[in-house]
Amino acid sequence: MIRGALIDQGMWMHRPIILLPSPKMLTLRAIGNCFTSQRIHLVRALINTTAVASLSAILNVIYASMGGFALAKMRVPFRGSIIALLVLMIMVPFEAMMISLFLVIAKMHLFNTLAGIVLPLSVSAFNVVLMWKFLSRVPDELIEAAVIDGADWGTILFRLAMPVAAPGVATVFVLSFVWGWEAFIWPLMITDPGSDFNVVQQVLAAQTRGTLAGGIDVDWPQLMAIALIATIPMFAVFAFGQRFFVAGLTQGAVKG
Amino acid sequence: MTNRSAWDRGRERVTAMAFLFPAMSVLTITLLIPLLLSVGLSFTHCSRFLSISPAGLSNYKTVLSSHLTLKSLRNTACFTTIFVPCNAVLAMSLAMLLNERARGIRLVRLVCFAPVALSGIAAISVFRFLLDPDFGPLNSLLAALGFAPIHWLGSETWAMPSMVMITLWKSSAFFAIILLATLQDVPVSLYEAARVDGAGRVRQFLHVTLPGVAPVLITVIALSTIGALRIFEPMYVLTSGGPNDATQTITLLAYRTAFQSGDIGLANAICCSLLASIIVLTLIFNGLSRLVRR
Amino acid sequence: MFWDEVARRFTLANPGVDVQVVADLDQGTYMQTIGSRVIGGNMPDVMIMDDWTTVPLINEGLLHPLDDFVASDSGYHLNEFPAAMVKDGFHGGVRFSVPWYGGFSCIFYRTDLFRRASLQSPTTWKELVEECHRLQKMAGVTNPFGMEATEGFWIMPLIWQQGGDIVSADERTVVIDNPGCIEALKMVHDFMYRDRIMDPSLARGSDLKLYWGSGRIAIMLYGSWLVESLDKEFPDLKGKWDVAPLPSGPRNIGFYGGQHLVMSGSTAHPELAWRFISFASRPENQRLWTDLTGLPPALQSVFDDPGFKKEHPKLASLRSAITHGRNNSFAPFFEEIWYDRFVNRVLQPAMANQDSRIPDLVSRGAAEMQAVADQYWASHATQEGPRP
Repeated sequence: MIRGALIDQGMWMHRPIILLPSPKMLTLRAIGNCFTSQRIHLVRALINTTAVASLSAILNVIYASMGGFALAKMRVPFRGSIIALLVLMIMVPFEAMMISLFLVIAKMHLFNTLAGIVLPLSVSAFNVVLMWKFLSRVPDELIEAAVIDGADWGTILFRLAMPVAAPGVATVFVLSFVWGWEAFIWPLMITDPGSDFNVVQQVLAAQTRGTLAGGIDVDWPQLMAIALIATIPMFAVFAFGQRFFVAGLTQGAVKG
Repeated sequence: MTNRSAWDRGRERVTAMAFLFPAMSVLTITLLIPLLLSVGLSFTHCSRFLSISPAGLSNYKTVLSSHLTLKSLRNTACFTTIFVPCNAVLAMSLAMLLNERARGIRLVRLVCFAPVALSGIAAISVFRFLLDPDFGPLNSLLAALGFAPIHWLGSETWAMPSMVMITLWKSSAFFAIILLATLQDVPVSLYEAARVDGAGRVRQFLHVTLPGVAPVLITVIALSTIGALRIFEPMYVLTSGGPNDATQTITLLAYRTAFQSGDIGLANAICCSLLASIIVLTLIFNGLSRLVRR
Repeated sequence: MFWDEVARRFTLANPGVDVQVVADLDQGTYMQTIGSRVIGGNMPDVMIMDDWTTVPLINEGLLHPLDDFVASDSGYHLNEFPAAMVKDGFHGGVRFSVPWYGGFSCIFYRTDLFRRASLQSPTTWKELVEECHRLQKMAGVTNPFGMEATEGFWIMPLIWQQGGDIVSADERTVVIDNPGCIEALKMVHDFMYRDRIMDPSLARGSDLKLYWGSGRIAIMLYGSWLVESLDKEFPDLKGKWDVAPLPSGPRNIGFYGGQHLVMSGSTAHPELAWRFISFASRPENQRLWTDLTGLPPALQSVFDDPGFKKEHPKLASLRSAITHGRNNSFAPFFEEIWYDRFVNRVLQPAMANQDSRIPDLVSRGAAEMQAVADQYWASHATQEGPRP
């Protein structure tokens, strides 16, 4: 869309608006500035965001697979209640308990820490249910054979079941990564407003809000450059994992 | 699972619990406990320094009577009622357009799905530029067409519609993806049969397409409604509640009440009201969905 | 910037101590950060905050008493700070905060226009009215006087000058319906509609500073924070203006209040924290404060220093403001009654209309504000009232 192209063109500003700039008019000043400027701290934010997104994705895959596998293939005490609880938990929106979540995490002395940001993002009932469905499709005979061969459950899960359910794993990974990258309200609440510990989204939001405050000389190229940098990693992950993303959501929408 | 001893079965149960433990314990800390705490605190006066005193229903009374809260509720309802139908129609139209077998359709699809891949906040920032009254392309376009420039984010009448526009951009693409997948599942034979029966495109749509996607469409409407009630980012980044509270929404109000005003009890009451509405809506949509499937 | 420099100096003077300046926050997020840090258990050791925002923290027992430190520190002279601010730091017989910086309101006037009318700056409101009439005749300025009539802050000292107040000393009764307050409101109302020395559009939210910059106003009431930044904002007026203290009514009182330094109750290094507070309050560092921020110092000895008078002549001329000023009430419900009730429902309607009936507006407003106060005390029955 035109808007997408505008992000690229935003690196230089010219009136009247030209949609497709010729190469010699482009300058990398704005992008370079993003990294060197003291005010923006983009590098640290990028590191933080990458850490948050990756940790969240990895943890999600691990926890969801473990839980999902147990529900799918093992004897679980109170299985019915646990499943019912998980389904109910999917219904609860984050916003309904975000304030109390803040209190809980802050009381755990995790205010303004990486662990504090990642903890709530690291598990989602939706992902557990998703992995449960995916792992259910692993043939029982495979599991049986492994059990008879004396393999312990850990090996069965990680060496046997997960490779078979690889699409599911990829889906959870991509979904969690994207969700962790894009998370805004939660990092906003749990980080110290005055400190540097920020997520890219916060940096961008702060810049955008700043343009509204006293904005006569708004540095548009700068803003667009930050937006661009904020988007690229997610775009890459999305382009790469698009299949899984779509499949996972459709699953959720259709079966959910 | 047949020829195994009780010992093995017992071990299996323990291991299963161990497998479930990480997920369930984190969920308890990050979901169940805050949820209970939220409900509990909503019946108290709680300051930002956590001095708590019982308040009975007074927070809820404030929710129902305070000018600001009522305005937020109205704004959120307004946003939702405009957003959901537009979203459904747009997503459906987009999905149907992209369902055609035409050359280069893959490229068009990719471009149309780009909004989903773009980071939400980045999109909002881009819109900040697009909607700028002095430098934004949208106003330039309006000027070229002979209209007066509109102060999109700064005027009370246009701020909320701008929010709807911004959210629709990403949301309709997102749901179009899902609807497209469903559309592609509708058997071509049904269309054939309809055409043989002499049905024109409109009747084909009404009798083949719609029933085919109905369950998913209901889900789309459900998800977009719940998402609309929770909306936060565009308002926070672009208008902070808007010119004269025109874009103040429930989630934004809860955030402000908790962190700027420091009234945690009231903020939790607002959150619980939101929770109650969403639970009610979810149950309604579940019922509807079941009805449609039959 | 300023605090980084102080931290640097402190570290030089006290090797082995590491001072971290946590953040220079804006007002909106300040309480949010403090609140989060209290919950998370890592409050900063020393904080600088507005006088009235210390009250919630004191009520929660979050601040460290400072009496012992003040008494035992021979290098720290509390009585060299203005009496009003010293008093503000006292709660319930215990000192929890020490003064840091105070702001006040003052007069800005156009020396060129005043010279044309052969006038000196007014010292009382009566003089102000007379001088404005002369300015109208001789300098051709239609509406010479300006103040933000819709902002409650400027009205407050005028109310005190007339002997009135907003909340009683025990914080239980709203007293705006006393003659003093009504008189003050009437005076400003008359400026606009009877004496015609002030443009009524200022009562409907027009930009006062814009009027000043464009020369529509010859004399305006504004705050001390503008003194050193006015030249930057209006470079064409350089050299054509001066400042004067607030004109007085029956009493000579102005507003004086600002920021205090406090110590966290849970700090692990109370001695060091006090040393930092004491260090920052030294004359040379208070002087640095003004040099770097343009805001007036609180230490009276800094005002009297000849070097200061040379470098900051305008601020030095306003010295009387810090001895003739007081602060407003710190009642917990004050914010709520002030903006929502007093400013919006009494002050603004009173000023916006020529024939507004001020006594009626005031008594209605007083009833509403009293209702809020009563409700507050009813739900906080276990809390004692303010301590003297």
